[in-house]
Amino acid sequence: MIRVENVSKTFKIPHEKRETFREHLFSFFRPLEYEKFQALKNVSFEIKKGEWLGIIGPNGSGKSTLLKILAGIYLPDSGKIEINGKLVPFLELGVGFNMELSARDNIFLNGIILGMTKKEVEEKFDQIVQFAEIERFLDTKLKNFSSGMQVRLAFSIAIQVESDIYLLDEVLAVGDAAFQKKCQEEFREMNKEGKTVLLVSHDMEAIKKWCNRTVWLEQGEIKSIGSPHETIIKYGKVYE
Amino acid sequence: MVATDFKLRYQNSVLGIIWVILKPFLLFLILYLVFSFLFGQKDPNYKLNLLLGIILINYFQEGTTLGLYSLFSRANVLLKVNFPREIALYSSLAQASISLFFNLLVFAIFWLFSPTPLHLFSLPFFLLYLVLLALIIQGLGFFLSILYIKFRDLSSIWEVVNSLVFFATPVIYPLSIIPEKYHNLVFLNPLAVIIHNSREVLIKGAMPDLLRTGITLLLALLLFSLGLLFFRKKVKKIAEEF
Repeated sequence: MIRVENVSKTFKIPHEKRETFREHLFSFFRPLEYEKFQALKNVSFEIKKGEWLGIIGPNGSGKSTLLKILAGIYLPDSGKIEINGKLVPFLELGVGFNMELSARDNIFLNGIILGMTKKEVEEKFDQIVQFAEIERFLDTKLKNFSSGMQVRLAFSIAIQVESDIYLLDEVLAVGDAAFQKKCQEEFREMNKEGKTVLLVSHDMEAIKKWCNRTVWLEQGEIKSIGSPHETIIKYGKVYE
Repeated sequence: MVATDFKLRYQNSVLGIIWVILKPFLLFLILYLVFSFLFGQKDPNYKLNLLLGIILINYFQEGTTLGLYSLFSRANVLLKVNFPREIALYSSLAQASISLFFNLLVFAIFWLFSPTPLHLFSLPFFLLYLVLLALIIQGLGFFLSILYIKFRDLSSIWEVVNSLVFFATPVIYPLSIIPEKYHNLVFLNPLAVIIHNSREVLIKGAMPDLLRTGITLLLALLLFSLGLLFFRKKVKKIAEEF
């Protein structure tokens, strides 16, 4: 279960970037000018256990910032966040992948970064390899993989991570048609097991198919919250 | 993470892991050839003293430099997953410690072929000095890693500091060439205390200077805890600074 109450987040975007001692020294008496950019304004919502929440909105509306705050990477300026259960963020697939290492090493690396223990990765290793269909290339360096294969491997590791809550940021469109089908099955499985999912996507069909509720973010504010069908129709009226 | 870093660092060079040992060893060879004429006659253990000094100062330089880059170089992971950020620093320290370990093996070989006897009490003391050094490296690393995100020229400054430290510490020259009255000044530098006393116990077989060791211990603990506090306070907001 997740409860988000009145969360706001403002970023300071400086007009000039001062990154060195030299720059700080030479402009000591000139105050740093910056613009404020409010990425989130008083966002509140609640997700119950087993619920799938879709988040839609145009680019720059604060979707990713919201997920990053939930993942604990950014701190909110104000507001409260309550999370019950283990949370795994997939803000990007293949976090920490290293191109110079073999697929085998990368499975361990990525798995551990996503919060699995070494033993868990060992147990799930065969499943991951099987799902990604990379048995033949286990000891190939990742840089020699096609980009499609890399993403497939990343996705296969990600779905093996046991958790209660998943944050998914645009990770649905992965691989060829056959792989897509396998992913859909995996999703159905997650749905059955009562996992809680936050799904950020521009793919309205996917949102309609999987989510119980949808939040529409617009310039950092919740414009509408409700059933996916209604929200997407409203959203479509503005943007199509 | 540690294993990955280590593997990555050396697997692309042809000589592989040998470089870990070779780097300080080559420095030792050069310095030995140049300076043994100058200082070698006075000190029969000059070779061992020099090697040990280089190994320890190398640990300091490598450890702090890796610490400096530890957050920056992992930016892609830090921005995507939330894990205790200190791990990044411990992993850097572990990496430097692995190199230290291999270097000490080389030192052990040299030491076996020298007439210096082993004193039982010296090993625990030497271990203590290694721990002190690690605490100092880590304490500095806590500050450097955070500050580097904000001040990108800190890396150049730190290089200068590192070479300054190298010459301010009696590594190539023996302590005896400094007039007695300035010794207190030299020992304000905790690295000088650590290196000098490591040599005393390990090579000379003498008792270490317990008072200065105690002061260094306090200093190292203070640096480490202040660093940890600073790091914990600042790291929460660091994701926005990249």
